[in-house]
Amino acid sequence: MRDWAPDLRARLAELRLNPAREAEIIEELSQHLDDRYDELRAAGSSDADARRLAIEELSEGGGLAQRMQALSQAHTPAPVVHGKPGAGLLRGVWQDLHCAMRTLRRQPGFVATIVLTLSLGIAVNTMVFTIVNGAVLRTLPFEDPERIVRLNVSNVGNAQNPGPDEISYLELQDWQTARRTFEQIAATAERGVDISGDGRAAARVSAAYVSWNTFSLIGQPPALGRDLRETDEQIGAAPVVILGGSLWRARYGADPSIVGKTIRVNGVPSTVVGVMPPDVGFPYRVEFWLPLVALSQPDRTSRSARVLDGVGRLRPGVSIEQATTELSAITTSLAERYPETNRDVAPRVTPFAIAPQFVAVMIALLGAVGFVLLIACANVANMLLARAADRSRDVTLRLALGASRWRIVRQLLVECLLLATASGACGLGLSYVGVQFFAGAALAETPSWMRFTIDGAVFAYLLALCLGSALVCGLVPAWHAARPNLAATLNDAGRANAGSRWRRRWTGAFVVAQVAAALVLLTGAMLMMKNLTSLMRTDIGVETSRLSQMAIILSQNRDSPDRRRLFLGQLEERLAANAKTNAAIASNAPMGGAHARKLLIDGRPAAEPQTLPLVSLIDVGQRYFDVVGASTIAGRALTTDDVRRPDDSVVVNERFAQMHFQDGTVIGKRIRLIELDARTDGSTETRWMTIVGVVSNVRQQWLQSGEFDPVVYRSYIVDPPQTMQVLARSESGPAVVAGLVGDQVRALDPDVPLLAMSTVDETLALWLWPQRLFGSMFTIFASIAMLLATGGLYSVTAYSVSRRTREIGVRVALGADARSVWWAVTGTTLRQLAIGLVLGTAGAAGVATVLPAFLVGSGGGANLVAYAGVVVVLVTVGVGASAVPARRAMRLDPVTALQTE
Amino acid sequence: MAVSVTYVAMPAIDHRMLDRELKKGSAELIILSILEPRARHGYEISKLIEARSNGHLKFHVASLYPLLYRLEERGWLQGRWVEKAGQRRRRFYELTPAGRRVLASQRNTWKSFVEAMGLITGVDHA
Repeated sequence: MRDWAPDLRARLAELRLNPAREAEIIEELSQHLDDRYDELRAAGSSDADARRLAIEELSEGGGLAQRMQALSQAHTPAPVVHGKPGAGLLRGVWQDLHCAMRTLRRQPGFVATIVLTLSLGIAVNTMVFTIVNGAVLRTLPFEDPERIVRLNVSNVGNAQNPGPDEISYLELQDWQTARRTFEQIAATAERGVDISGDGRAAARVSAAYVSWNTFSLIGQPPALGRDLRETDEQIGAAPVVILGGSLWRARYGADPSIVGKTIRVNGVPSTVVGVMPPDVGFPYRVEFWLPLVALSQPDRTSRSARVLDGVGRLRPGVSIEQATTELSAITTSLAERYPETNRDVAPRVTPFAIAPQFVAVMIALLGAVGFVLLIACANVANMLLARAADRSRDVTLRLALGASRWRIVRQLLVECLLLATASGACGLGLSYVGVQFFAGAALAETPSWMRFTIDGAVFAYLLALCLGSALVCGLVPAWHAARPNLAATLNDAGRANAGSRWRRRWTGAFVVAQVAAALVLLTGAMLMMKNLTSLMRTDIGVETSRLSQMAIILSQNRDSPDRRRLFLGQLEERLAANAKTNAAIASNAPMGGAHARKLLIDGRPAAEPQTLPLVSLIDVGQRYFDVVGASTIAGRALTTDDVRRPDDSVVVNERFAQMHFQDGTVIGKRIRLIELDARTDGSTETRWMTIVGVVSNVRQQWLQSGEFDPVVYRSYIVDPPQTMQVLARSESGPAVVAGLVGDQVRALDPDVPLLAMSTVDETLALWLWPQRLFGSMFTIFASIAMLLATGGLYSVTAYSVSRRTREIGVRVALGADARSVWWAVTGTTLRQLAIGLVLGTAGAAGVATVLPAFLVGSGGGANLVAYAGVVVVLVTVGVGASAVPARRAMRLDPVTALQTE
Repeated sequence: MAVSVTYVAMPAIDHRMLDRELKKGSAELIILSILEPRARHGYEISKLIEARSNGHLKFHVASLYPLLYRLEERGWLQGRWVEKAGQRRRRFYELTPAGRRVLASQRNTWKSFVEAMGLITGVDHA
């Protein structure tokens, strides 16, 4: 036996085998080399030659060690060879990545189309998630925000108006004894206040009256000066205020010396003790804070004055149910002691979150953009399926030659991931633009603590979108491409066909899904825009484009009802005497809402309080109906005598008369109006009033039914409100009118600030911002969806034509007419369109059922029109998209077609 | 009678890799087939392959034993040492049940491939 070990060991050294295993291999190969040596010697070779030849065979094909490197016994990293099995996972993925980039670089048009398609879907999803994240998901910028709750009450005994309702100041003090489950309880009341006496023009600012411990409760101390103290809330304490950071910069130039100075707030000298950071506007978007003791005496001493929004911080580990139980014990005790104001009142403890209606809209938006992304993925999947068909021979041969199916699938998925990542990068940029647009449009209507920024959560969502899109788009094409049907795939070469049945089925399924999703989205968008249009065109009853409105706020602290009557009476006289102004005063402008009251009609059985009908109440001046343009239908309007001596005269509108006096005998009838939360069996302390006239309808608010609301007009002298609207009709713009009216107001009292004047139409447009904003977003998403679905229909049909060119040529050569060729080409696409419409109808029906509940004044019976319109649009677009390649097919030269590969 | 010849283009395939892939793909089938009747040692396997292929296929040490070890790692072969007096130990290899299943599958695949290649490289009649 020869010693082959040194030669073998030298060649095996780089493998770093286990010594025992190395010894086994050396022994086995040594036996083989012995046999080979004997064979060579038997054939006539010399000893040296036989040995040399045997050793040389160890180096064949790169050598023994190189061929053994892939084995698990070896501990050397194997070189990366394309197609070689057993390479490390990471190295294999890196190789796939390199190969994918090289492949995609050769197809820039294909890549650009896919990236554009996917980036649209990813962009809208990222944008909406950023909004949802900022509005709903992101934790509040307070200390331990999960322990902060809203506190208010429900009126369990009032079915018509169960609440939620605010709490009273005395109720707050009772609740603050709930120390077992609450660390702290505070309350706020948002009001506008007038500031002056600081060397600048008087101004109205949004302010909040707050408990002394409010800022410590939310964990946000002032940036300058000090917080409120318990002593600041005691009766007789020196008045103090805290400025907001934005107000401090804008009005006082960020001068730190403002702290300690005195300014007039609602005419009361008050010391500025602190300045909050600029981004703090608790509880909503406030820029000025006063202690609760600054509220009027009635607000502080009456249990029926429910003017405060409660906020609490739970103790660690305490649940909302436990806190509610403790507060319920207190409210039960209060109900027994103060039945007139606290009977049937139950505490409500809820997380400090945004309004549920806003959450519902956000969820609807997420659903909508999810559909858009699915349509985009279906489009891309179809494109990848087509590309997979073109590469099927390449892939199939690789499979036959030893490549694993998983390796093929992995490489194709890496290509998809690369495309999805590029799309994600583009989508991120687009979504940033969209978020900026939304944030700017919604700025004034969202709390100060709500930020719409792209943070870690948004990036994680974006990555998930990219990964999910790659899988959704690429899994089916990749799996299809890796099918090892050798003979069938190779036999496909050179034959004119539209691809395998399997692929056609998936293509058809994607087209159907796109059409169905587009139909659902378009239906929802059309419903919203229809609602918005109908709201904007709502018949208000009078011409409003030249009707301007401006609010005057008479601070409660400064003006008693008598002083308000005097002021408003003098203002009316000055406005009437000035020939340049055609103005009147009223508590509410048209479409400006109204006070809600329950109605009692003299001579009719008194119903239960909770079942009494509701009406709108407007307090008006002497020239209101002339200025607004409401005409008298029956009886008379309110006269000067009525407004000077308003014993019992009121005017109602046509709608009121139709609802409650169908026999037309409304003039002379007596009615009584009672407060919504008055607990009475029908007899109240309010006076009976006589209806003296009926005027034409002027809409004060939108109702779900779309009808005008029933309105009662009475003289403002009965109960002059703190806020009055000055209404002026003029050919000049609001700015000119504001100047004229402002001169009259300032002549009476220079400290009464004037809010900006605008036309009624402009105010309406502002109120419709949610419908405009979200309606526009839905429309944009639906348009993108339709564009993608249309593009998908076109590309699928065009691809089918290109694959069936020879077949079409054969048909034409055999005598087929243009119509049959057209049908052969478009028949499949049209069938898929029809199936998609049927499936989408089910989804659209769901949307048409659920959506109107969230729309104001949507009415009924209009949904079928919207749906029919959407179907017509989709069918037209779909037929048009498939007709273009069909026309091309009909014009094919049969000879050219037959020669096509 | 019309005749058409179909040309198969494989622009993405490296021919050297094709050569390697061909040998790699067929080598496993060859080894499994040789071992189907009974267990054999490495030298016997290499001589049988050469003899049955009339010398066209040769598996020397550097190409045969890494392949045997790979098939053993996959569980398709089972090796065992056999000792005889006065000689080195020899390692004999035999098919496992998994190896027999793989052999049947690869035989079918190879048969389909050969048929397909015959269709392509032959002449079609329309």
